[in-house]
Amino acid sequence: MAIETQILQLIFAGVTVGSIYALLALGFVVIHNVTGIVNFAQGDFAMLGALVAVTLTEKTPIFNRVFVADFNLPLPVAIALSTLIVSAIGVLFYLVAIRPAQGASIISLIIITIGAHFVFQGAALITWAADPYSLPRFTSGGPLEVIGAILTQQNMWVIGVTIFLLVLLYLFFDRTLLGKALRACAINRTAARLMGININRMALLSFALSAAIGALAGIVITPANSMSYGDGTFLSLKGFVAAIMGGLNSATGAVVGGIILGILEMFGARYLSSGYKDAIAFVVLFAILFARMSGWLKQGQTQTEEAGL
Amino acid sequence: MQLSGKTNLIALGALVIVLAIIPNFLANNYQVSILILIALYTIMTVGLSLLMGYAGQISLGQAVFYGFGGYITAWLAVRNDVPPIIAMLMAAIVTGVFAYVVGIPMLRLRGHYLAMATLGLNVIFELAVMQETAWTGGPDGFKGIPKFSIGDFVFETDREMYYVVWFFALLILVLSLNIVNSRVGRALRAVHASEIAAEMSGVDTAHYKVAVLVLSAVYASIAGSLYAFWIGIISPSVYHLTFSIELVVMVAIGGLASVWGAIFGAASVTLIAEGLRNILPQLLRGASGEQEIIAFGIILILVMIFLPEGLTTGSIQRLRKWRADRAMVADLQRSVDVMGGEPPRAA
Amino acid sequence: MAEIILKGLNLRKDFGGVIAVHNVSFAVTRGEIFAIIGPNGAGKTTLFNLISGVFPPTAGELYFKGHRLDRGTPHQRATLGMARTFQNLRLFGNMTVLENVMVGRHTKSRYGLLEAALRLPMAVGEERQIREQACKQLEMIGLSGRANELVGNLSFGQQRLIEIARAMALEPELLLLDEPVAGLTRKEVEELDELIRRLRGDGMTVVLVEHNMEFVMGIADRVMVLDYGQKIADRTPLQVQHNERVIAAYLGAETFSEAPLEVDDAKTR
Repeated sequence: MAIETQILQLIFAGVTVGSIYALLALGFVVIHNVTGIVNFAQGDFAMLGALVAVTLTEKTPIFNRVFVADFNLPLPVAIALSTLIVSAIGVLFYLVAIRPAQGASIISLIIITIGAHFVFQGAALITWAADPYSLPRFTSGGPLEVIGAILTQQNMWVIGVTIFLLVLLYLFFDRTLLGKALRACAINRTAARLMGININRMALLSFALSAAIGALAGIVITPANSMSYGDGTFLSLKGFVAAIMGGLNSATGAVVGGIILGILEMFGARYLSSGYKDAIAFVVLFAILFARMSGWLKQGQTQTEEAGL
Repeated sequence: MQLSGKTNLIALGALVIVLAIIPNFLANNYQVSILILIALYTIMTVGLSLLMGYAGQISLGQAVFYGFGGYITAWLAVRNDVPPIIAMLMAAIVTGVFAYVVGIPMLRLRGHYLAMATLGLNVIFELAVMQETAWTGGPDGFKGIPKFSIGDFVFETDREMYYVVWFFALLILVLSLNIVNSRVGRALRAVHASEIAAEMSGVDTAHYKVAVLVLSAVYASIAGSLYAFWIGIISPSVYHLTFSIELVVMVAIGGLASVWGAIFGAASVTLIAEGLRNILPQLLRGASGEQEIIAFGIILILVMIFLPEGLTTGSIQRLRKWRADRAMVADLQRSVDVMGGEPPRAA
Repeated sequence: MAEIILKGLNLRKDFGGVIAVHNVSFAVTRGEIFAIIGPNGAGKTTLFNLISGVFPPTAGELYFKGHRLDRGTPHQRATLGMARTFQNLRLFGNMTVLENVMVGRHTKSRYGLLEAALRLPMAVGEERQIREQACKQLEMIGLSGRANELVGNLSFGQQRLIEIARAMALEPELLLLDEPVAGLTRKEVEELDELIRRLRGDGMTVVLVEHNMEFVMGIADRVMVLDYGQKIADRTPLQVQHNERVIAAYLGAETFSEAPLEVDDAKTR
């Protein structure tokens, strides 16, 4: 393979997987912006989205072959329904685990979301066992070929869905009243409250939205890569790294971060070491965190908050 | 919230007696093994409790230090014929130095960033162990680790190892209690409560955060070495991220700022895990090992919401508050009586 | 003997576009009570944070007892003899009243992790001294009876005193008080006034930030006025009160004309 073809192929692959990271990062950013929480269980929404969608479309044995789910719904319906179900799960998560813990310390909240991660993973294991599942490809058809590098239709779906969601979210946050209310909460909770914005409802909405985005991310990648109960962990981690690359506050930053991360992973796996592929995300994480620190106030941002500014 | 020196001594004495007697009542080796695991986890949980509860720093990567202890000891003992105690000591030193080097940059992070960084450390460690087969034996593991021995005496059976690990666990318990009830313990708690006020009071917060990380790493390394000697073969799956998180669960349940809580947390989680591992397959046909994590998740969430100080500290605090409230009510009642039935006017 | 104990030269602090402190220079003489006042947002707290080392200045120099400090950490200042209280009270809520004050003795003790773990005699001895000294501080503020209670159970005024006791436990040469009388009752303000005079009598230098004009004018030897991050006056209380720029900054002549102008020189010495 010619070198340009190789590179282009890696870029295609990188952008595809990067889009998934971007979507997960978006989910992180939405919740963090509105509530200040970092949701360690974000990746599980993707996992659940995919597995629920599979269950709705194909014959799937669940609960260790005690039942066999045979809904056989058409793919678009299954996708929509799955997104709704996972979104509802996100809302439930908020109501049961996050809202009751109002005012808890950061460590407590981190531990709670980790607990939720365990619950989701365990529940998925109980429901679907350890088998990997895939959705059928969205569209059948030949791939796009550019100077020998291949971009499959599914890849294009992934990238397309990401762009679509980005635009949708931009319009939502920038043009609708509800979206602006959400942003207001992120900027100044007390002021938002005084303006009559119901903080709790906004937080709930942010969880619903994040879960939906996560679900779509999982759904759109499963035709190409299978999904099993434990995949949520790494998806969460990488999504978080991508979100940090954008500063945890910026949606565009999250997306750019995701794409860059995806590309770095592909190139790293190919030219450095495939075994350490998953480590690349963390090396990137360290690089960013430490670069940030030397640029910032020496003792970090919390110092400023503590000083009463 | 510290217990008095006398209470500590009494509790310690009671613990020693109980631990000494128990093996006589145990039916089989399996039960002794559980107690050995509890001892090892106690060692690690105490360290993590000091880090999280006292200094207020979160670590989702303690398994790394456990792994350092295991692999370095294995490499020294098997490939270089180093006697067990020396191997354990050397591993602890190397792990401590590693924690120091890694800790200085990492502990400048906070909250989620620190959690993620430690998590990343764990992931990288696992990958490295899998990849560097020449050093670690890769996915197949490091085999042939000798039993623990002091001089000519070899601790062959589980029962003998039980005494060894609990000796170390108790030793570490005592050392940690001493630390907590000292100027160092106060400095750590100050750092947790308000870093800036601690700094302004003369506490070098950066130094203490790294110091307690190194301490927890050394503890974990010791536990890791003992585990290697006991089991004879170690493989990457032992040092999985999930284990690091389980340790956090143990600290959370036992009490973030409680050395005694560490034993309770370690014991509870281990026993619950074993219990679930036995019951679940019956409840859900064909359930495999890991499914008990769903129970952990639920427990974790409930504890964090209702008893964020953990089960031991939380319960003790509730008890104290209840007693204080009762005393206050009694006081008010007395002053009402003294005033002849009229409640005192607000000052 | 006019030894300069604290000196700031052309201090400047930017926060991404906002210049909170702009070209402020000042010098504090040992043994005096130096007040920093100014309208809200004038940069008083930022300046205070610069002095105490919460963050470094964007530009400028800071000297304490001759040591150049602008790049140092707060705990280095504590070791040199600078102590501080906080506007929003930063007590250690996870410890008792006595333990809070004991932390103040940190710079006066040395034993570390190893000595603590092994309970070496040297550590036990130092620990006893720490406890004794902390108890003395508690006696001075009259809270010995509540030594073993969790610090969060005491009243606001008492908590303020505990913070001061903790700062005093450092045996500092310079005491920084951040809005010390905010939220105190009239009686408590008087008691604090007396306490500060007593400290000054013992040789302490005090720098304070305050909004309570009556208090400041009554106790300060010199007053520095900030407005929009810049110094607009640096004189005795009387002179500051009649300074036109200061009056304009506060936009309220009443602030000064209604305050009891106790022109009692003896009181401000």
